[in-house]
Amino acid sequence: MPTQLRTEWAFDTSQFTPHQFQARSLLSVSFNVMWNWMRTRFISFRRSIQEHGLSWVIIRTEIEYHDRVTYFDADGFEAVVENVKLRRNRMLEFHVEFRTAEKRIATVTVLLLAVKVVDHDSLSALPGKVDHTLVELLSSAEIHSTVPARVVPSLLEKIQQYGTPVAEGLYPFTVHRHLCEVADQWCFVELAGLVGAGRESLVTAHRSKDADLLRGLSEPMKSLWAELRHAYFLFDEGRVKTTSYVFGERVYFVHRLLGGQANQEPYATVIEEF
Amino acid sequence: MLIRLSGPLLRFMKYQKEHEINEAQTVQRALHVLTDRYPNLKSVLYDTTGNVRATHRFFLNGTPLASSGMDSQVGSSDCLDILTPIAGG
Repeated sequence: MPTQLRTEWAFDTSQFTPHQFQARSLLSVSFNVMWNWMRTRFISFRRSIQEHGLSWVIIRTEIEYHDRVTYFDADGFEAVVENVKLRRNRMLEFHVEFRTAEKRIATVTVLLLAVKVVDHDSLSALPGKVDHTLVELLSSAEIHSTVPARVVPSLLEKIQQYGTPVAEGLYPFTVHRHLCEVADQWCFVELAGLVGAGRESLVTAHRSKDADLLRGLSEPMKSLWAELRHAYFLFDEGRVKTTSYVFGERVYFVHRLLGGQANQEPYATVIEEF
Repeated sequence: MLIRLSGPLLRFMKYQKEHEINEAQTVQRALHVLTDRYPNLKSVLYDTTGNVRATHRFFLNGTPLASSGMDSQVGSSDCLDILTPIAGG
């Protein structure tokens, strides 16, 4: 049987916008409960690095919002980690369900890639695999031989082919330590805040172009999909290049997180749906 | 030559990104001068056999440099970038 982990959390006002649970807060809680699952059901992240030289980097994440839940709807929520899958001994997939007693808030999916830590001082790493001694700690239902399909490239192609581009903007940022984790590497949790800033800057600059654009500020987000390719590090200069599209009944914000130099492939691609 | 580093290496170099090194004729020698200046960098940059760790990528004037290319001749106008693509934090 795959193992499940339930934790209870209080609502706090910083977790919310006026419209919904913040995407960044969902990722932040997911990050914590994932490591809690690791600690209680598998191996703690600290021991994984120190004793096995095994670490994990996030390569994809998705958020799907369900019922509309605002701060005044409840006093707290439950985060349930379930359907954890080790894929091909090198990817770990988590699903985190967020819910109040009455409503489903959102589902967060995170896909991590195993890396082998080569130097424990800098934590520099290379692609790696999970040792069989660790694989044996998992149940057979948690071990899978397939990898999940990529959503971002196909959705991006559809949006670009059939959607109507509305506006484009750039949001520059510098990676300071409040955006980083222990290795002075940016934390994936922060991508939601960075693309949110890119979207809000775009909407406020171009809202007169199209009334639908304002939905990126005045309505709750429906979904977010992200693929991460490269890491930012401390003091790196980055830019969020955002293009908005109207496609059917939806408004999409396509964000490419870029480095400081021209012609580099995106560090990450994020699509938000409103 | 100019050596530029970023990422998890910065804290081993007093958070200074750019380093001017004029007393070296090869990449290897320039790296040795750098690790002499910042001794804590040595075990991060090199493995126990004295080879540069595979976790770091080197670009000489924007062109990827293999670990076998550390004897490449360099002059005062050259620029070496050292990137560390992945940190397991």
